[in-house]
Amino acid sequence: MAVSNGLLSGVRNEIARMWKVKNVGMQPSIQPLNFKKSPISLVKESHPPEKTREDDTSVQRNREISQLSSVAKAEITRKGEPTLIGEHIVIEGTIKAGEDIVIEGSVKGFVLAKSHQVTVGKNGRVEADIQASSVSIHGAMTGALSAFNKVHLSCSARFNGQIKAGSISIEEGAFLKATIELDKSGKDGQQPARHVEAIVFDQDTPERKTPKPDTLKPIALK
Amino acid sequence: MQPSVLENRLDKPTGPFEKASYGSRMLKQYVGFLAKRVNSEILDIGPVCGKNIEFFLGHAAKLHVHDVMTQTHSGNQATQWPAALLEELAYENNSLDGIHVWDLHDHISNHDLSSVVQKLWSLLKPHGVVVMIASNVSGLQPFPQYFKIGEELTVTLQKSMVRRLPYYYRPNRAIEKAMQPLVQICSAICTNGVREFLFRRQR
Repeated sequence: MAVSNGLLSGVRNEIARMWKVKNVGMQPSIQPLNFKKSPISLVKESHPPEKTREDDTSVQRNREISQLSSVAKAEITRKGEPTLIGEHIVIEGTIKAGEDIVIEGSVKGFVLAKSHQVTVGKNGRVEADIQASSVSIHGAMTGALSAFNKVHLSCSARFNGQIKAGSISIEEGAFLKATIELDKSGKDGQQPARHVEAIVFDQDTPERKTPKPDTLKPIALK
Repeated sequence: MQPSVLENRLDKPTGPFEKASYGSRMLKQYVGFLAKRVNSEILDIGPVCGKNIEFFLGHAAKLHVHDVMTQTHSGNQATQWPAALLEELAYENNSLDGIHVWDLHDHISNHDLSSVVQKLWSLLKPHGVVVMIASNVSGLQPFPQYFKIGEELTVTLQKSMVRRLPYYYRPNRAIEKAMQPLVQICSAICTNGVREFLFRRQR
């Protein structure tokens, strides 16, 4: 019995050495669950603090995204995760962006996002010059806009300024006072061909001519 | 034209005017004129239509868009119109090859129209042209209309119900007189109720 006790003691010591447990023979201390707290708080406590902060951030972000206009949400869904300038944020100065931006707040100054898209959301108010790969306006903007690719103005857009872009699309209902120039050079630097049937009148002889449309019968001509 | 005549035309329309479209000869002449100009610069005055902007950008190097509806959100419209229009046409003199105007002249009084025409004249380069397209029947409504340009220069009426403006109907001869010193090249009233005008600045 003494031998077996000695053997057992040796085994215990070996286990203790391996697992670095001081009192193997003792019952491990088990912390009682606090049943006064809600199950949710128990779950929260079981996660490490870092993870909880991440969850809070993502919840906050999801909440912010859910409050965005549907157009801005669509941009986020399509492109991934652009930087969002929220509705209650005012920025004055220069923004240099290395990723897509959605502006739902107020921006004054200069926005530079050469390789990325800038979206002015429905609630966005921009008094700035924007230089970007492509720009989508759904809110109010005053300034010069330069896009290497496309500029899109939605029906809710209110624009005042200059636009220089590779291409432009404007929805019905957009308000704008603008000077627009398209970059027609293309890849080879040549002007695109104009496929227009033209009836040219002589500039030097302002002679009155009577139009005779095929589809209509003029009822009174001067 | 007397109101009774207009009423007759309203009673006997050639078709539903809202759906009326036609091939615009004035726009063909306008586009042909622009094709001969180098680095042409043009101005679009009236309610904005995205399709029209895309169309005109295909025929000019630079397009200025002046949406008369943009003043809708800024204070009392009655006192601002058309004085604000003149102030906002702050473009360089002798800088424009062409100006196209959608349903504007019928919303400006005789006195103000002469100021607006003088302004347009000064903005145009010598030999520059002005195209005016307006409705002849639905213009009785005090809302400026515009015409969407489609394929083969087909033009379709678009109603713009955003801004209410005063309305002054003038026969073609009165318009020709009011547009001086611009010289009228041609004009037409079509059976679907559309009027087109082409003017030019002399040397």
